[in-house]
Amino acid sequence: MALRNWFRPIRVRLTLWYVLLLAVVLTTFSGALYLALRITLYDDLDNILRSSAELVTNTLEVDDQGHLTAEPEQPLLWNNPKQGEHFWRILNLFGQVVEQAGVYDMGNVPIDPAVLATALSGQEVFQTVRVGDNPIRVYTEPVVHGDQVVGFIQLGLSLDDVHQTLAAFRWTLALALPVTLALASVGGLFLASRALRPVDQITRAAQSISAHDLSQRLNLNLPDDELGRLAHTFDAMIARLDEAFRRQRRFTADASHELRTPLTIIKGNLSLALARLRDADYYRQVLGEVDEEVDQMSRLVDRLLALARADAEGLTLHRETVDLSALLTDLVEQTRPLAEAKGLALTVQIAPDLTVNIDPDAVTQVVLNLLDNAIKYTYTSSGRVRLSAHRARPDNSEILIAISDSGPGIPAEHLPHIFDRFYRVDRARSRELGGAGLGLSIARELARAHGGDITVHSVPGEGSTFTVRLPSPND
Amino acid sequence: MRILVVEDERRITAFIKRGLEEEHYAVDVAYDGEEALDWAAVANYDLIVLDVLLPKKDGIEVCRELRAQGNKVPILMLTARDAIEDRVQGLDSGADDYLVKPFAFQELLARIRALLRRSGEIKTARLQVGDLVLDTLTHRATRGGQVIELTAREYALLELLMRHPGQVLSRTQISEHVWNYDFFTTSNVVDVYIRYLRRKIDKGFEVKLLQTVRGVGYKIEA
Repeated sequence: MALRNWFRPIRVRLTLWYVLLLAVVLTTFSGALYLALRITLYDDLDNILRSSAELVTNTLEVDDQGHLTAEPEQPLLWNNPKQGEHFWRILNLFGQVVEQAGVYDMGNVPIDPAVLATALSGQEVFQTVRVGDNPIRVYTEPVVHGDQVVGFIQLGLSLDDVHQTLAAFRWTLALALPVTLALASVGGLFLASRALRPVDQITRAAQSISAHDLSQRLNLNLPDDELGRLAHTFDAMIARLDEAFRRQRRFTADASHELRTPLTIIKGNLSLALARLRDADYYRQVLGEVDEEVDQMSRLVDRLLALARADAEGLTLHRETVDLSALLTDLVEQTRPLAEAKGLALTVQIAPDLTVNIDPDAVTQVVLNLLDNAIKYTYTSSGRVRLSAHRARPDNSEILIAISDSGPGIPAEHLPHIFDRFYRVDRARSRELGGAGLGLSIARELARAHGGDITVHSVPGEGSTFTVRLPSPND
Repeated sequence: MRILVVEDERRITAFIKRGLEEEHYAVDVAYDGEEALDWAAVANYDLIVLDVLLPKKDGIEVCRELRAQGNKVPILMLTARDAIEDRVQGLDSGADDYLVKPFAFQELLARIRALLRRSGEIKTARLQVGDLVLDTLTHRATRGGQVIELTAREYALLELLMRHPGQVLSRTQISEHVWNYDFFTTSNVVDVYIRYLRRKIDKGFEVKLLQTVRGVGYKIEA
């Protein structure tokens, strides 16, 4: 368990993998180097043997009977002390020694008939033989006289030097390899720790950010590398979460305020009425006020529930084929008394035969809400409200309904928020008009459920235009 | 006692004003933060009932500004928010008490009485000067065990005087604390009500409690 914990950190595992890989690479490399050195050393030795054989061959004399004699005049190449022990001998075709020289007893180096047979075919042969403890490299070459092989020359040289060199090299490798790996693991661990330090920083910073305080950020000043981008992405995610939580908190606070206001009025009026005996008029007035507030609360609760349902399961539409032109004309006529009561001119321009596949109840709610707002917020005596509807495409697959007013318009800073829940440009005035700031949110949810949307264009002092885009699938 | 009620919801101010006036308080109403500061600057209130969520300037800001101006008027905050940090923020901004909506009117009254007691010298609901006793809870005045019937304005005037026993109050001070801005007050009105009050509490008694200090004002003293 403890061991597993020790291996858990990425830096340890990274280092282990790295060292393992390095070990494989270094071993392969060392092996190759050793082989190359061995081949080179043997080649060198073989070349010396070959050229020495030539010196001996040059002094060879062959008489008429095919007898061989050799008398090298100069000391052979290997006669320097460094070249160590050597021998040479000349054999006749029967494998019998004709001439020989060197430090070895010739009888100790066996004469291999297979080698002679190969040499007889004109090839040179190198072999490594062991005499006692001494490894010897033996070279065998045919002696050619005229076109004929008349005998063999064999030279041998001690391999001691070569083997010593190779052994020293092996030792060097055997020592250097573990030391290198040890250094590499220390270095690797250091590098991995260094590279992963920002991860620890991110972890610590992230731990200090709780769900209750999302205003904090990592704010790590990391370079723009993978980890820097990770920290950045993390911060961006926290920011989005923060915004979502903030919106949720604001919504809850707004909803609680909107629900508590009528409750306060009800509770206050009732407790005041009950404080002493009142006359009938007083009670009637209080009950009237309570009644009004209960209505207001029911409307609010209905809307909150509608929004909650829309959030939870999405709005379900009951689409049917509807003559939208007729529907809109009806709605306008329904609202006309409201407009006329305020002295507003309500004008209409509806394209004929807008037959569409929509949810008539939902569209009614959207259009009534927008018309109602337009009438409510247009105060000027000669104000006008206008509803127009036309095809965005010739085949009735998308309809645009625009409702414009000559009201005060919406200041630019409020425009991005007017569809937010409970958002009101003028809270006091809107409450007097009976609104809770949910109508536009719901209208937009309904338009979006149709696959459309509501957009607003407003010029302060001139008026606002709300445009409902309503796609209608052709079935 | 004169109270300023600051709340943007007119249906709430309506019943608060009505209820407080029943308790003989003089009440002014402000509907936003800036209006509240204007009122507080010109009139000497005994207490302010302040909503937190207000247009233009919220209650927290109003509270802070009043305290920064050195105004020590007791402030009772009203709010629909009841999270602990909201209460803490309200109290830290300088409010003296905190009432969460919705509330029972009796609780509002009790808290107002408590704050008024705390701000004054007197710690009980019973005010006494000599054998004259005023119960601020029941609004019952007695002298020598004899019940005295008072009108709302007379009661307010007597309460003000009895809260400052032995202290001379000018006509302006009296009119400021007993009448709200709906009345066009002159010092003459004060004199008239002092006369009414004197007739009710001193008439037939050897010791005259309500005294005129010439050129300054009035005081009540045993």
